[in-house]
Amino acid sequence: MSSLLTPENLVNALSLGALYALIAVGYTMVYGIIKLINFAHGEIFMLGAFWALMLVGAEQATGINLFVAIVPAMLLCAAVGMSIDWTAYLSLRRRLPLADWMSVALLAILGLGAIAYKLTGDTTHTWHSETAHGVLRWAVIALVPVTMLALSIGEKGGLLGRSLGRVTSDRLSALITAIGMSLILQTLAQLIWGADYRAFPEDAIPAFMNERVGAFDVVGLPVLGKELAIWVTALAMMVALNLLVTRTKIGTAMRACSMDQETAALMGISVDRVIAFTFVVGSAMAAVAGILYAVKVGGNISFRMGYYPGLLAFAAAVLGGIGNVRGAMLGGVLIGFVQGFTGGAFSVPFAVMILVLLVLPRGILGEPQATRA
Amino acid sequence: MGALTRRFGFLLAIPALAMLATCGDGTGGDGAEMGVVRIAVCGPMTGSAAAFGEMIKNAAKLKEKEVNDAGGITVGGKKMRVEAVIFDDKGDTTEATNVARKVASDDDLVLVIGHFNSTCSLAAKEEYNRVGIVQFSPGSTNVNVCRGGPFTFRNLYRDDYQGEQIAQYLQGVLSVKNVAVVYDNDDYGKGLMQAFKGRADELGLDVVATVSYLRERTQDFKPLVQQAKDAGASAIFVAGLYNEAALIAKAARQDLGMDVPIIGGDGVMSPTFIKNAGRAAEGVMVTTPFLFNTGADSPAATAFLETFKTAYGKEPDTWAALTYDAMGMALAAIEKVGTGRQDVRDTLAAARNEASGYAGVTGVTYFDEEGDCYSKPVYVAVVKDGEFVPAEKQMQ
Repeated sequence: MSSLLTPENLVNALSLGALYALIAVGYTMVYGIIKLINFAHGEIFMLGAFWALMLVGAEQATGINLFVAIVPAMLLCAAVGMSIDWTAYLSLRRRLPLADWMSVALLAILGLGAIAYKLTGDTTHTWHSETAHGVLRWAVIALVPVTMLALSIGEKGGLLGRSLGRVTSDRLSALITAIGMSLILQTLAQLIWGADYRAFPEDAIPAFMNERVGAFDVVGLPVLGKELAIWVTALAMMVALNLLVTRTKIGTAMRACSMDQETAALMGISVDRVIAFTFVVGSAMAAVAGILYAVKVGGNISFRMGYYPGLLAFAAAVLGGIGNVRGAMLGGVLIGFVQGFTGGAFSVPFAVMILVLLVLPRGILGEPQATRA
Repeated sequence: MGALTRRFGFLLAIPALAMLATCGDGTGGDGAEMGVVRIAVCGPMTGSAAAFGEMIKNAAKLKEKEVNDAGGITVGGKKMRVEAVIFDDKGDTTEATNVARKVASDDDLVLVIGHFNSTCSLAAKEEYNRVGIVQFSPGSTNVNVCRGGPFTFRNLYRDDYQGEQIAQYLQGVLSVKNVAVVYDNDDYGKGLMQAFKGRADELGLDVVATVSYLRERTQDFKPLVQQAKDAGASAIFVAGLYNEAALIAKAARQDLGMDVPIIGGDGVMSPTFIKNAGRAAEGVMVTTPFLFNTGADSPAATAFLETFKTAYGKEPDTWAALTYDAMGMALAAIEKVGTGRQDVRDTLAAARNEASGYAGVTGVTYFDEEGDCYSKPVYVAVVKDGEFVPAEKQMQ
């Protein structure tokens, strides 16, 4: 602890900050539009790492390169993120026939999966049973076509069928639903993959990831390939996200929805589709963060892995001003710096967040008190 | 077929249970003249630690078979059959308490071999000591397991003893001058760290950095290992469990390019450690209460290794050896004084030195006044080609 301002800590702080920023934008985008803290976001982060692990091979390497596995993992997480919205949150916003059916159908799949698991599960080696694994794995993967099907049907009769009206559920209902969703996903991951910790097989990680980057040695920064990869990936995704939000049609729609959903709907914006898209983007970014995080720390892939990084990223989103995408990026980097320069402390970032909120109650880039109540 | 037996294997147990019920009181059945000495064997037969439970069960059943094949044991001039009755605590404290109540209230059971998980032993301890039945653990290493329990014994070291032995090993055998300790901030890690530091101070082994972490919360170990590196440590002692040890080994070897010796307690000795740490696991050392194939196995150890392999088709592990010895020691005590629970306890408690101890597979077992066992050395295993093998240099 002799000195905290070392080049090593700087490198670590940048890496952590980049990762937290990637997660934090997911929290903040969803909050910006539906005023919901999506607690299941940390679990998407965890699922991203697990999907990639499945693709590169948990027991033996399948030969798939980790960088290649990132793309399908992103797609799967995007589908799961959207499914979460449509399973748990949509019914709390609007009365849509198809949405309700989807909730029932998806929860039934999970329930049947759990029952199948109990029936086929080998009681002596609970987490070994291949049958049970298979059933559950496919149940979760089945989310993807179900979601896609719903999307295509939705195109015809308005998204997800004709709305039967708004549901004015309390925001607290959505909050506890989000927490419940987080626990459901954790339990599911534990049933499928067991409680043990995993790591990506070494052969799946390109060799340069664990080598020093010579160019940085010149300026005295001990940067590993994987750290550079984290910086570059995070930066590229942030720039892309910024362009998406500010320069594209769907980005404009997202901003419109976050300002006023009803008016946006009157302007012909399909609000639910915009919300679904928000979940897709946030989840894909969380998936990337999960994979890079597991590479950075050298493993630690378990059903609980999303909890603490998720919490820190949430703090980052609040610190930057929840609802503000650039604020989340800034907050993520700040939280990463605080943690990096305190040798990985867990409570100091929260203390800093509280102090900042004392001065700037809406976060650093948070807009002044909203005009709406 | 295998899967079928596993799934419906309990059906096979029904006739067996029925038989037990009919000849259990020793009045009916064919072998009516021969009484039965019943010993409870409690451990995690199912659940996440089931692999340990299986070893424990197999070792206990092997001892049972060997004794019975040799005509049983002599109690008070009469030959008696031995039966190891298996109880499943699922590695869960609530289940362990339930098992303890069931076992303690069953007067047919003379003593308990178990439990395995320290948490289970601690949870069950109160009941055993209240009723007055010996609880003899072949697997719990938590510091508090035997403390204040006159009926509680174990035949392996306490956690903190490992810490002392590791300090001795680093200084005496590996001639390390300074060391960094990375410890898990829970009872296990802290106990190990404190014992290690105490002994290191006595030996003049310089502890240059002491870094703590919190399991689950601390996930990025690079800054922690960085502190060890900055302090110029020429060895790292990991007082924690296998997952964190794997992350620490990776951070040290891959991220920071440190090739100093890394040593851990038995909490690191898991196949998952090797799987997760990959190449970084190579050369990492761990301590364990007992090891086969050290090149200096006792004849008893070699014989047990062979019979176990013949009976079950795989090699016994540390816990199997310790269970086998615990059974042996318990039966020896019963042969001496009969099946009175208090008498058995007093006989075990009287084993206080090498002469009155029990010589078994894992060495000579005897106890201190608490029922803890310091009579056996710690063994050192090292990861080589993705497997734990006995280290070339063992404790002297």
